[in-house]
Amino acid sequence: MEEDDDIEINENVKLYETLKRAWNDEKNAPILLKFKSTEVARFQTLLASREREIEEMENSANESGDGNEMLLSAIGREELNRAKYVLRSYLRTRIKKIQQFPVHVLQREREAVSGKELVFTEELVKAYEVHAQSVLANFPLKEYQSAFMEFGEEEVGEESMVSHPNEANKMVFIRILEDVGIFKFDDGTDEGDAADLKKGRILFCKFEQFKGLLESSEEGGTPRAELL
Amino acid sequence: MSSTSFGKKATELVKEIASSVESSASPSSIPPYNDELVRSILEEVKAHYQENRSLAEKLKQVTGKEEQEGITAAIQTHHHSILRNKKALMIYLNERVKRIQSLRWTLGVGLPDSISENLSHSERDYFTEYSKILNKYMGKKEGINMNLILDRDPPKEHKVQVRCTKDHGVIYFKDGVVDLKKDSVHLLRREEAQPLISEGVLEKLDDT
Repeated sequence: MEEDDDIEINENVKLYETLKRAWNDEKNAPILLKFKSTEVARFQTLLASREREIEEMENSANESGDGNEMLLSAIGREELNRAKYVLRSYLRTRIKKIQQFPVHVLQREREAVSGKELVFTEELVKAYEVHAQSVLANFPLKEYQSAFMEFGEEEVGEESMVSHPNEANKMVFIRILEDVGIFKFDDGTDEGDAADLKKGRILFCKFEQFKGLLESSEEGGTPRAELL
Repeated sequence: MSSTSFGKKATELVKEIASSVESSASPSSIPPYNDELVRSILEEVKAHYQENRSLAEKLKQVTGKEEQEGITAAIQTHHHSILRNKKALMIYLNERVKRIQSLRWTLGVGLPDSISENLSHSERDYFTEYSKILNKYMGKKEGINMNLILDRDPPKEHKVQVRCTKDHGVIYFKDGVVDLKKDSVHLLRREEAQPLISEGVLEKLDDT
């Protein structure tokens, strides 16, 4: 029984670590990263059960007036608030990024957002189009009235007035978390370049070239690098 | 329309919003919607278009190659003036959209009159619509069931000491019932106090 508890605690600690890393990566990445759907769902369940536990602790502490219990419940509450903050900030960072380039998200990053984020984005773009028409509807020709095209029919995905984040040229700090070995990356030349990536190395590099390392090499494993 | 004024008003509009980025005292401020200037730019667009229509008529009648080229170039110039005005208007609109969105995060769902009167009719509608969309995303029923407006800064202590700035009546908090009287001081849970702090009902006392 005790062993089971230990395993569960370890799993929870790992989950918290994963989420903290996702939050940190999201904050530092110039593009929207893939939504950590399973982790977020599991984390939310965990938070809800912790919430119930702590509420019970608080209630019994309030009843008994025992100083130890009060302190423990207060510590538990603070720790819970920190965990909630991480999740909130993670989701908030993503919403802020989506808001900057909502049309871009709908066109090119649909697989990076959660279902609820997608609904949010679609509704946001719709509301924006309605609002833009308050000005554009006064333009004399239909071809002038689109909020996303300069004039007339342009190809979907190639609209001239849709802005996209400039991800490829952004420089980021990245820390290697495990020995990767020789890593080949595209440096604009035909043959490419390669670097020996040892655990603990910190690189200042173009995001585009190394973003693959933020994911694990195998399904469900730990990521090979994190952003700083 | 004098030929030297092409796009001049549009430039003015962009300059206006750009300069307010630097000069605004707080990020939640928004300058008055310049309806007059927007209208006159739209008038300019119409004038360009009228001009183009009559030029197009003229083009059908003339036969000389040189004359035709001259008219075509004029049409192009008017067309690009329209596009330029359009871009300027959209820059203006988009920058304001960004600020209207951030008002939702800093001030909550209700805008004070002093800000609301600076918005156009359509902008007020957009604010309402944006609030609705965000609330739906954060909501219990169809959303993530989490209020992302809370906790803008990492939490320190989970309770905060606050003072009421006005009488707000009796409120039921998780820890019990509190009568929020003007100038009374309370120790409340951060998450419960925060909305009231942004509304201006409470002010933080022990914030260092």
